[in-house]
Amino acid sequence: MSITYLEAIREAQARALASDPRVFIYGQDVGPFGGAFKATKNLARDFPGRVLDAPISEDAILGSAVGAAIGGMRPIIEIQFSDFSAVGFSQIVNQAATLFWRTQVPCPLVVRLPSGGTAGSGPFHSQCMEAIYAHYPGLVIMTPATVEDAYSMLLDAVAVDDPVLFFEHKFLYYHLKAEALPTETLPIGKARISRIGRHMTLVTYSAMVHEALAAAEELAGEGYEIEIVDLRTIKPLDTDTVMASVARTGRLLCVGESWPWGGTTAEVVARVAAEGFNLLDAPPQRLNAKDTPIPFHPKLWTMHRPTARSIAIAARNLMQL
Amino acid sequence: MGGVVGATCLGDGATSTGAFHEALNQAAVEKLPLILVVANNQYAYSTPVSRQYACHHLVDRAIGYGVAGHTVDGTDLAQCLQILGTAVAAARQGAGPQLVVADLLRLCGHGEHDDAGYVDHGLKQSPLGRDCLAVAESHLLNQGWADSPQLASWKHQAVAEVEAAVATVQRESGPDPYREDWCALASDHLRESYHGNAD
Amino acid sequence: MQMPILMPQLGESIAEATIIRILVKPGDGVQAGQELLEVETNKAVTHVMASYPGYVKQLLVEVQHSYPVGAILGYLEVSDADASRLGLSTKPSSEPGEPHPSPSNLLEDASSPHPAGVSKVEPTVRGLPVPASAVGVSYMSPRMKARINELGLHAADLAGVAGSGAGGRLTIADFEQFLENLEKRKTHPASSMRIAVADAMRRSWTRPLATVSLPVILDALLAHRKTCEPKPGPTLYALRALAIALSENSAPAGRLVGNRIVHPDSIDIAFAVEAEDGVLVPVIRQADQKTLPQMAERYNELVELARKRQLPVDATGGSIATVTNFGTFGLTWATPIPLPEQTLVLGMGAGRTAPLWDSTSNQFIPVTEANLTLSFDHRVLDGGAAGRLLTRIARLMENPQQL
Repeated sequence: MSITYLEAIREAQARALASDPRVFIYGQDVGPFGGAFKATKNLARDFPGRVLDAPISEDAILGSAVGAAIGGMRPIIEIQFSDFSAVGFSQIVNQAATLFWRTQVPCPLVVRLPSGGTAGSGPFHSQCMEAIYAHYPGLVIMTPATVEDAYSMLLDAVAVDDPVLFFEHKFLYYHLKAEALPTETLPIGKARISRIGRHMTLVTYSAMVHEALAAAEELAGEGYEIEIVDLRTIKPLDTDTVMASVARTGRLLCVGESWPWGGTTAEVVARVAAEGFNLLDAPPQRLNAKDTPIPFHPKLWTMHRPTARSIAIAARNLMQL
Repeated sequence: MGGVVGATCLGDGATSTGAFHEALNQAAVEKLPLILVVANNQYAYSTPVSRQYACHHLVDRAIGYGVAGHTVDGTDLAQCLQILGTAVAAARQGAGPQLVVADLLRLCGHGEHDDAGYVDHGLKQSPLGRDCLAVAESHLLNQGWADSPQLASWKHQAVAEVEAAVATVQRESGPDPYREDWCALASDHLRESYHGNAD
Repeated sequence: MQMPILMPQLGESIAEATIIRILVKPGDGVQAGQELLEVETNKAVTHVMASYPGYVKQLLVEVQHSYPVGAILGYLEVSDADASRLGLSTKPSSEPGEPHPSPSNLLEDASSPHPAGVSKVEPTVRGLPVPASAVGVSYMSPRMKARINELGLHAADLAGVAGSGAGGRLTIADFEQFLENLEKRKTHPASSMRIAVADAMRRSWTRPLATVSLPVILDALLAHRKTCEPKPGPTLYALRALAIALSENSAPAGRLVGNRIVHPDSIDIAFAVEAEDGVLVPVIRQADQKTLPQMAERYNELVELARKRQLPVDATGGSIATVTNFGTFGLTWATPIPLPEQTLVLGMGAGRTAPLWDSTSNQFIPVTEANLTLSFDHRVLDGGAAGRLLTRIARLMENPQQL
């Protein structure tokens, strides 16, 4: 039996619907159609009245989720492409994120956000927006990189009493497979060491974990063992695991698919530079997408964000600093 | 702007967005010469209009915004020409925004990957499900404005034009990421020269 | 693809280098890191090395000509496979400082305030040190500093250890390897005395030290010594002379604290005694107020205690200058180093018979002569003051009845 990243997300939602009557799913095309990526396939049929099609109204979709959460429900909202969440940005950052702070009433909602690009997906169907939202206090930001995490972290997200933004990566939906669903998992907020190494710590998340693993293979052939830290959640960010890894290796490279300014990579470097200065044997480095909107043309898109090859080059350069 | 009229095309799904509401409201307040052509093809991706709005007919919204509303059979070219002509003339004369709702059916998927299996069969069989090109061709033939060989020749010509355009574009070399300027700003002197991105 | 050979950054404040020797010719295959040119700066002779593997395409330099940092010295041809592996782009490389051509014609309007062709935001402050992330520049990383601190080492302990990092810097890996290699070498533990002396000397050496010297004729002193009981050592004569000289003018033994010279409040003089693996410095307190016979017994006592490492605490510390007799090792000349908390150390060499020109008898007469050296912290006094002090000491020693 093999299960894809996408199927794991569907399984988790099925399990949430089955075990908790407060859970419902709302979003465009999630009902009978089963979702643009089929993440909710058959769920409307199996759980009548709890998987509903929404109009093209992200503001209202997210706002009604906040209301439902206040009313005691546990909504799972599917925003068709994370890029479209910008339309309902205010509901997330001004309403959901501040509700507990302002009223002591928790806001237990989950927003699923298909993120990341594929060749030709262009500027409005490719974004990785985790850093924008992580900037706002009051939100939990998840970026699962494995099939197992896609499953268990989504279940954790539903169980958490705070608003969770769940950034799924579209490229991993069908390409990533696992043997089975996990029975146990790391707690929310703990990063995973995806690959043990000694010469460098490479901190990354989501689809870039897999690019980093490929880059590490290339460098292993040259005698460098790269340690890869998969953050799993951007916020809360597992500074301890990162710091312990840099304590072992002395070098830090942060890789993210998003843009450089104020990205997740910037946050990790800032923390290590401030609190782990004496652990660094070389200046910390970052690798991000280029500081332009995401190109449509595949020839430009392939050069726009980090790849296994560009990660290997950055890592090699860091070893020579 | 002397006689200039603006126009925009949108689908039934787009009428649910906040942007549609705010834009139409704003245009109405400003009495702008704006034609909004809603191609009401009954589906937004897989979402049927019953999940999109509760109006008896989408054109009913015009009343709420204080603008003129028009309906037209979106499969009928002659009707479309007539109704759009009326709407444009009204806008040009200062009557404010004109909401034109054309009813038709989407005859293909939302995208190439989509087989549109969710489209109601009844609708496909109904007049709403007519192919507007076939309807227009019949009309031309019935009115004696063209004969079959002429129609065939126009089609042939159109295909040739499209194929030539495709061939031209396919011969173009495409952007070179190494020679690409990679600047998102029009003001070149404001781009950051920070190279700490290891890119 | 063609890659330029650039004059690298050869050191802080180095702006150019002169070609001394050209080590390759066009057509030669080179490996990454291979030396291509021998160059000379105002600090050292060093090399320009190939940044990539490939072959030499073209050389643009002449021997004995100088080229600035960043200048293109030639071109290497790098294979496509290597270029891809190393991430070398085909972007046309611009000369350093050359602005990129502006893609917009809107700025070339003659009435526009923007100069045509200006593209990037330039730094307003130039000449800053090369950033540490530039490949080829040496630095000590925070981790290295912390590790050195942790082990109680100093950068000086690692002088001469070769590094594999940028600019030859020591990386943590190099350092751990160095420590590991030490295990294979013959070593013996440094005694705590040795470590204490090492630390004291290192701390003392952070100051600018200088030395002046005078020969002193010992005949009168040697004759005087024969008449005393107990017999004072030559060191004690020097110590007493120093004490008297300082009581007349204590400024030379002062300490520089900020912008003030702090004068000593008690003329306590230490003297060096060689003990196992190091030196101890017992103190004669108020040496200006005791005559030579009065301090002789105490002196001998302290020497014995020092040799047995049984000096009481109150017998050390608090001294304002030190005397050391390196003549006991047979040395005629030495430049001792003052203790870190002192400004002066007076040294005395071995006496030997030497000819002295006697103008009254117009001939050389034999005398017993020894070198006195005075090493001092040059921040507190200059050669003149040091010379005057040393002269006074020598005159006192040549007139021992005054001691």
